[in-house]
Amino acid sequence: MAHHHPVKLDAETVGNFNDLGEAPERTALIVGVIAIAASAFLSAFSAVNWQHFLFTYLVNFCYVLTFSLGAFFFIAVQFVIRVGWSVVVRRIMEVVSLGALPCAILFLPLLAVVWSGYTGMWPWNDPKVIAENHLVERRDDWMNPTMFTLRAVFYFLVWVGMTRLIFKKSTRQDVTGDPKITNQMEGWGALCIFLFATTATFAAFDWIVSLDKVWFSTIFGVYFFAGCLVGFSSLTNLIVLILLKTGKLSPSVVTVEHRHNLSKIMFFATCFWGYNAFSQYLLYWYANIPEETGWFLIREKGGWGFLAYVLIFGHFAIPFLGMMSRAVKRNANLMIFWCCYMLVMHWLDLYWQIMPNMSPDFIPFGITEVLVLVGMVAFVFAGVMWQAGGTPLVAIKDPRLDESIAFHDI
Amino acid sequence: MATTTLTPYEEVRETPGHRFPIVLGNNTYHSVTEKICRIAEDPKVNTYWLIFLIISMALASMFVSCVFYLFFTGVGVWGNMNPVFWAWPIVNFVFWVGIGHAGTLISAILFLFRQNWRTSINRAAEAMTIFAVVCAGIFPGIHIGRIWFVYFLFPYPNTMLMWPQFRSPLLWDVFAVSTYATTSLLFWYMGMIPDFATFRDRAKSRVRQVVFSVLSLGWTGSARGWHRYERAYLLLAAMATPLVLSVHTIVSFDFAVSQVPGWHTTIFPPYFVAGAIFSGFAMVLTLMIPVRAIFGLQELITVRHLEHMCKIIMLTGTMVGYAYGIEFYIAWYGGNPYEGFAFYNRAFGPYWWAYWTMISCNVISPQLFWIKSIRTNPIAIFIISIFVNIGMWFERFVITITSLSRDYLPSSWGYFVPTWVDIMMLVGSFGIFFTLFLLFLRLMPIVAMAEIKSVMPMPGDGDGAHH
Repeated sequence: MAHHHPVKLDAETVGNFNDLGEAPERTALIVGVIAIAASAFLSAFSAVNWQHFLFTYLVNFCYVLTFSLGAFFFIAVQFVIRVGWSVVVRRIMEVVSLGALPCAILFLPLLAVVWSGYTGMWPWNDPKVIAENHLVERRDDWMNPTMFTLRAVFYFLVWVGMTRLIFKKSTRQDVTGDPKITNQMEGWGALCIFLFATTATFAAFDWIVSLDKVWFSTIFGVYFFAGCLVGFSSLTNLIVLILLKTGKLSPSVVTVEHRHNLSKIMFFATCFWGYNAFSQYLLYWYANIPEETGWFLIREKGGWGFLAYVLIFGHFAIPFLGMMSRAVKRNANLMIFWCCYMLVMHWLDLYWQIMPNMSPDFIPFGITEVLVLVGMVAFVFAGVMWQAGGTPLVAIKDPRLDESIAFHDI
Repeated sequence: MATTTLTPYEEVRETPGHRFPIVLGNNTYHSVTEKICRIAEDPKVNTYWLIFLIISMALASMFVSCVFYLFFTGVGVWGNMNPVFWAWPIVNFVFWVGIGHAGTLISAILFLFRQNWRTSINRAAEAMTIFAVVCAGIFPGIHIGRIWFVYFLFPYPNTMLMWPQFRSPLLWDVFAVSTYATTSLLFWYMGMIPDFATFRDRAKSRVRQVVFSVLSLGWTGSARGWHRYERAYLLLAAMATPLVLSVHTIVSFDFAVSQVPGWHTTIFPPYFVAGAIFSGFAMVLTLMIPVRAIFGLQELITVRHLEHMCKIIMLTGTMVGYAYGIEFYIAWYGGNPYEGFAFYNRAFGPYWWAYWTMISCNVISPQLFWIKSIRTNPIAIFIISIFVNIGMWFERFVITITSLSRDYLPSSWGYFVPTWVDIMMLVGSFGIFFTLFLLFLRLMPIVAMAEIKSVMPMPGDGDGAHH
């Protein structure tokens, strides 16, 4: 490859997160709080609707959390393996990962649900279920409000602490340009990957798997992780494409080569999700053991069964074929479509995992889902933008920035 | 660059923003060609190589003798006995298939990830892959009892209307492994074509000229030839990538679709794939550390290369450790008493020694690679890589034997003891593997010369290649 004259970037030319609009976080915060509160208010007058609201809340909480977790993991990977190409888009990922903090706040109502002794959600919180069900009873030392809370506190300490640490270090490098920070982050990154794997796995077991009295699956942590990658990669790619479209990011900094690579990550995430979903289903279907198939049986019937097919084709087969071509991955308009499409599919995947535990017979989709989704996304957006502040959109003094700008894939 | 003064520790120091050269020393295109070709062209045979070859061939002959003894006597010569009917043959099969994952991972997946450092090691790793798959393929083949019906493994239209059981993962294995072997072989061979042409052009004897002319398929090095070569390489890499994952996924299905406690668990597919990459990289290190020392390739296969591989071993070893942990957690959480017993029995039952060997070698020993001075010390890496090889064999032993020896009914429990044939066949399979690998070292281009030149500084290019 020929020599490139390094492009010099500074905070003036690349723009920052405050340039994206006039105080969008305040509007978003208001919208978020109002939407969630309105939905809670509408649901508060009947027990069925209240339960529906709480389950919807959990679905959407997991949804917004996966973006942050996926970003957290992927940033750590980039530092550990000394990636060069991705520096120009890493700041966007860092900001996405900051969603961990607003998610921690969004988790508080769920803790309140557990401590209030509400029995309509996690069966291990119901003394009657514990008394009647040997399987739940024997887990009592692990699945109880105290342990549940302690674990959640640990997860959020890791996620919020580490994402904030990475962001702090990375923004400090914007000022100092100290390459030692990059070296330090390599070590931190390795630790982050380790912590991420542990916390995300047990969070998935605590919050999603334990909704079912009986069911378990060793691959579930990996399946959840695959979902994190799908959500994060689609969202990051979408943000980059929108920033490019609106002229906030320069196409001479984030080129078609970077977009191509981001799309490859999406394609990989889709395949990886399919691999895990298939592995889990095939093994349980094949062995046909009652306590393992029960979870799938309610998800194969009626509307849930239809949704299962939507996931097989919509979450795997169609995007697999649709995003395979190089021309598609390099086409900004088509990729905007695929990003939005995958974000919908990722939501449906979580909905299909969580909701049947509340409503095994039919899909209860309604205004609650829409309001809570809008509210949560707006709330997390507000929290993220508030933290990002006037940070430049690109890590302007990263020692590998020149390499990233010059990146040209064969 | 003044390289002779660098210690291994300095050699791997990372300066962000500066990419370290992949090849060290004052090497040029010519010196790389010389270094690699000399190994195959030197009329004087390397003494170490000869000693290893003699030992390996002796072991390989022992293996062949055992196979004939098995054919003429029957499967009873093995220790396979009620209730452990799947014993060492499948353990060895899974072990060797696992080893055979590193080559195609390095050549295909690391290629797609644009990891240029792979060029120094991919050729030898691919060769190793093929030989490991050869060793793996032998075991199910000789395990069928009536060897004269071995072709029944394949579904072919026949007058008896007899078909294999399509719902059995063992049949999927036949397809998965044979597809993998074919693609790996193709990939390996195609990558060697430009290097075979170099051998041909340098050949002094008529025999070498003819052989390498045929093998290089009339390669001229034209721009059009290179263009098509690159296209084919990319396509093959894309096709080989899912195969790297599918082979061991299906091997894991052999166990996981059953209802046997300890086998039936959903993490098996990704866990087996991680384990396979883990063991494959360990074997690459076990082979390449002596090879680079014996043939003086330290400037091509640098400490930095070894360090990268150590990191992959550390990652995949930890993933395997994660899977062990999650299996235990879910065995407890799920509450199935048989599942719970299977795991308790692994750790504290009669095979506890195998279990703790596995844990020490697979989970604990790679954690030493967190320490930089260990993962940059070839001798330490070599020792740990051997531990990993041992650990990964024991992993398959633990999975296969402990679950079968004590299942649902205590009255049918048993204790598996291998026979001398079992042991000699395991040892002998290493003979086959090493014989093939040693012959490869002497006869073929053991480092991808053409590829490594593509990531070296161009002649007259002062500050190194900028990739």
